Amino acid sequence: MARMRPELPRLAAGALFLGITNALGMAIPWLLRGAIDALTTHAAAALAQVTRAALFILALAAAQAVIRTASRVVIFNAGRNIEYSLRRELFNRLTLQPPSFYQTQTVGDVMSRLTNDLGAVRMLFGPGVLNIVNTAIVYGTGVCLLWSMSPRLTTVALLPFPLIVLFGRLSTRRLYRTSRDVQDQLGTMSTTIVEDLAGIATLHTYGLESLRRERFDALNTEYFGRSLRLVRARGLLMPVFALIAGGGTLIVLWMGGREVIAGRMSVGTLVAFNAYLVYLSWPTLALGWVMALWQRGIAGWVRVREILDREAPADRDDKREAPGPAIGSGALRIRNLSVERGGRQVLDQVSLDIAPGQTVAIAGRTGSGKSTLLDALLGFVAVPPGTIFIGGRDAAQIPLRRLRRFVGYAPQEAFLFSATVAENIAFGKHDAADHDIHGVAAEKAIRAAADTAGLARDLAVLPDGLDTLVGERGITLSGGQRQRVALARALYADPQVLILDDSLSAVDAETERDILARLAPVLRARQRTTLMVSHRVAAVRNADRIIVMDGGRVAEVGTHDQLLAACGVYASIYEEQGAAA
Amino acid sequence: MTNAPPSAKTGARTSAKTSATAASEDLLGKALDRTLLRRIFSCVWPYKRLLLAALLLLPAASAFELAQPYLLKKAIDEHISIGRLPGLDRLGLLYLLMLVGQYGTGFLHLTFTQIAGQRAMNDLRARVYGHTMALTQAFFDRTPIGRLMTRMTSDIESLTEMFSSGLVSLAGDAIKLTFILIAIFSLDWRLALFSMVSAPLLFGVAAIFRRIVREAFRDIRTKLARMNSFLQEHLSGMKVVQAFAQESLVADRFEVINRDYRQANARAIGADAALYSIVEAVGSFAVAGLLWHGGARIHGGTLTFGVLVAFIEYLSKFFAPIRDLSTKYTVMQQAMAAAERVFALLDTHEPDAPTTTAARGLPASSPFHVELDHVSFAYRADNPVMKSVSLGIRPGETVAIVGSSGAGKSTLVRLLCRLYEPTAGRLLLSGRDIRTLPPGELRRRVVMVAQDPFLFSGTIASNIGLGAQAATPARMTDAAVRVGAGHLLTRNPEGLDASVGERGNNFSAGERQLLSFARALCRDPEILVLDEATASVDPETERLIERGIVELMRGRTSIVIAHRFSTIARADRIVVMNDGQVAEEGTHDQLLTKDGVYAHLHRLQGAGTGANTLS
Repeated sequence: MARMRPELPRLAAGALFLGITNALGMAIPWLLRGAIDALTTHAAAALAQVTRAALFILALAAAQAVIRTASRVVIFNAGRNIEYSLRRELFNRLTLQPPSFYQTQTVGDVMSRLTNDLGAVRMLFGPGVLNIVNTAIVYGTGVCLLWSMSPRLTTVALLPFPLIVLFGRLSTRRLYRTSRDVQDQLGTMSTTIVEDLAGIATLHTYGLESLRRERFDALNTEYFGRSLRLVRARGLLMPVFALIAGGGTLIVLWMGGREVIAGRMSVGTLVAFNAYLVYLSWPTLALGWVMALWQRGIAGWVRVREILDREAPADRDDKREAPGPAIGSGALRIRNLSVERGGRQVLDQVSLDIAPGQTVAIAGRTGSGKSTLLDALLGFVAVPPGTIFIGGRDAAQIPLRRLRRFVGYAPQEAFLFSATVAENIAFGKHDAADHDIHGVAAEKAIRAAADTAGLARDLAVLPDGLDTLVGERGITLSGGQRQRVALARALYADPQVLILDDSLSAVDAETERDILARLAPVLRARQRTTLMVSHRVAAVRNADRIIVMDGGRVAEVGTHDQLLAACGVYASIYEEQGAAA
Repeated sequence: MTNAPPSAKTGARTSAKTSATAASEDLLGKALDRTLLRRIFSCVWPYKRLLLAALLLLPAASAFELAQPYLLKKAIDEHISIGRLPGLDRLGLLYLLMLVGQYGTGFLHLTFTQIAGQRAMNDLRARVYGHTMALTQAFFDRTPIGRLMTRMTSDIESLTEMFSSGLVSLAGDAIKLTFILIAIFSLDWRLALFSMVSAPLLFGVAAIFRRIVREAFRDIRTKLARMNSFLQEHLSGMKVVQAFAQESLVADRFEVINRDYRQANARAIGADAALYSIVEAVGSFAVAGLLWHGGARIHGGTLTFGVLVAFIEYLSKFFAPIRDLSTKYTVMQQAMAAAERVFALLDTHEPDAPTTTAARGLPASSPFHVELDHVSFAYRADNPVMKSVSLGIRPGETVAIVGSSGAGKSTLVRLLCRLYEPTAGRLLLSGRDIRTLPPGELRRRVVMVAQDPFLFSGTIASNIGLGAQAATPARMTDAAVRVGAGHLLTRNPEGLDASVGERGNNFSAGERQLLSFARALCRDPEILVLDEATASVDPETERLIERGIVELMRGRTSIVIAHRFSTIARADRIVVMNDGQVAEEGTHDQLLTKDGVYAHLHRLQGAGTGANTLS
């Protein structure tokens, strides 16, 4: 709960205000008692005392209003602050999760944790804390005041209250379990909805709406059932608590009445006693609600914690952002790199040297380890120290963020944000000044990157050119267009090492050739090291060197002509493609 | 996305967009919109008996509750003050009965409303889902998934919340307040007037509060929507964020959005706290007035203690619901805003593939002739992508469609599957306009295999079978083997039951392609529409895919957007599209002789040895 510490002063202040509010409120029945007792004496001075009491009550109420407002504002804002900082922490934590996390977790479920569950946690700290503190204060002072008036009556009136504790305890576990069930199911439903909407075209063309609908209905019905169980678990709390609290008044009426008749108690005391019990009854009634809130909050908190407590491998940055020596050139050296994934040896003793400014192509069949090699260079796969050296430095020692600024990346599955084309291209640039993408210089550079990536013709057709909104809320670009925007993004960031992971696979062969032809001189002029994976022989044949991977190992290395002459794996791939054409 | 000052162009669009948002959010302020309420009630109507029972319980619960102060008054005036013990026991017992009655009826009331509410919202959620799934592709092109998900989850949750702690209890409060007014005025109207003297103040306070809160809520909703879509998008694209080491940039952007959201809430919190406190204070003012006026009258002997005590009790019961009004108002506001958006979605009438006439099915198995009759289409009005295209395809014929990107190839096949509707012209199947075919008929006969196939989480079987009743394991395995996806079944001990992750993320692009072929083959349609993937895969998979395509097209009328030469070469006819029109058609040889667009493409292709695609 260390995360709540910054809010502790605020919560403490809120509790203090709450205490004062209640003290003022508790004084009112006391004044009432004095006034009524004065009235029973029929003394002449009684009226003056009543007037004084009424004026006092007015003043108290006014003061109470001000302080009560303060207490609520302070406590509710503390709850919002906690929600805010938890959400920030969660999001930061999520940015550090490795790709494997996103393969096992669905976006819908993570979203549900960031919104619904966090909301439940906030309710726990805002209204939840407010009510618990309030209950404690009201009970503490209330019982003391009652005791001072009549210990005997107090004992009897409070007799049923332990039942509240008992009943509460019995319900707690059930409340927690049912809350958690409801929230889990909501997460599942979110996941299904997202998937169905994302695959809507397929669902339509296969006429699957009714089938998916049945599936959704089943989930929905299950959700209904779980919600109903929660309703039932919650439903009895309030009436039982209220009944117990109401029992207090009954005892006052019955026993207190006898006391007054017997002359052991004044009418004013009886009225005040009853007023205090009424005062106590509100927090008692709220207790059931607070308990449900509490359990829901805990259930949400557990789900939030499941993310917060995840180890973040990428965390190594924060510990070592110390300014180490700069990464020198774009030279890459790989020494005996072996990587295991899911019990399978995906890279097996790979060694490789690439000089700065070289363009190296990696070829090989699916599953030969190409993508893992690239992932390792990008730090998406943890590698043992002493296996990868970038610019002469051990990659395992380089803070991830610095490494990734040094190594640029254009993936096969290009992801664009809902932003303009220009903003998407500028995304990878790190200098703050460069985020002003509307400067003349910046716009020129963005356009240059777009041109190199072969986007010129597409931009001319888009309604607002570079300023066209794309992504979820904008125009849907084709797969090839998306890949080219992603390439432009990598180029605009201008890294020392550029990794193209089959990043033109959805672009037609002709356009690909054009792009590669434009790209080569740019990369050469800037001495950028380039690693590219492609399945098209035409795309890799002009590389300085071609590395052919097979079964996690480097099978062949050489130029296009050398490899053809060697009559190995590469030559056979070339033949296959030639035959296909 | 960016905080940089937008250029004039984006600036204009942004402001246009904000004003549109403002307009759509404008209506969110109303806490009690009659039309909306009527629609919400129409959802609960099927459960009217439950609801009616709940409503009938309300006056009973109030009566039970409000009898209690009266019993207290009787006890004080008729027993305690005058020292008469007999009969006090009877009053005590009566009081206990009232308590049990109050909470017993209260419990039943709450249970009934909640069950009715949950059921109604369950129905509504299913309806919204069903409605959404039946909307046309164009709708999904412009509506973010995150927003639609919010409609079906959080928004409906808000409505459910209204049933558990809002609307019906508002009715209960109204009944209770009326009862209390009747009770106190009949007990002593002068004292009642005196204690209510500060009540008008409440109306003023409530009016101010409403105005503040209405604005605050509009703000909160907008900020929340912004936050949710930001989260949704960046969680999906996290790898890009990480690859460019832009975690801190993105975190900074989120920081602004997150802080804005908190800020928006602060205003509502202030208003809420003030309302609560003021109502409490007014309640105490009333007690002061009661004491002052009542005290004088007790002194003068015209009022009893019992009445004073009963009044104090009644007043505390009177102000409690008003005090909690802000909580209920919040719930109602959120529910109304949610209802408005949910109903707006339900009011979206852009049905997917609607049928115009009372439709008659096609004969069970006839050779299907496909015809495009002057078909035009534009995704955006000012930018036509198909211009009056006419084309006939004979039964059993394989037609390859080629052309550069943007020539309108994909549009053509999408129109044939009615993912979009032509802006002019018609498409005919066996001479019948496809718009007159019964729902489902067209898509049973015509199956489209997309360039980027979508796999659903589940198993291989659930993806190949996709709910086809005839899809027995044997048939699915056969389909998989025939298209060359057999190795995907055998590499895993679970075979057909091997699990498929979200969007098939545990399969490569080529494997997804193969599985989608198996899916199409299992479906066994008369007409196959194939948008051949441009994405290159490794040569081995490439060969498998090619074989799969051959297998898939065997004995069917096939329309293929072809990129591979092998596919083009096998076609009976090649249709070359250019700029939304059919530029030329004919066989490979005919087109080469013609020396037009196709010949040009072919020559380009020949220059690049090894490249195996043509677009």
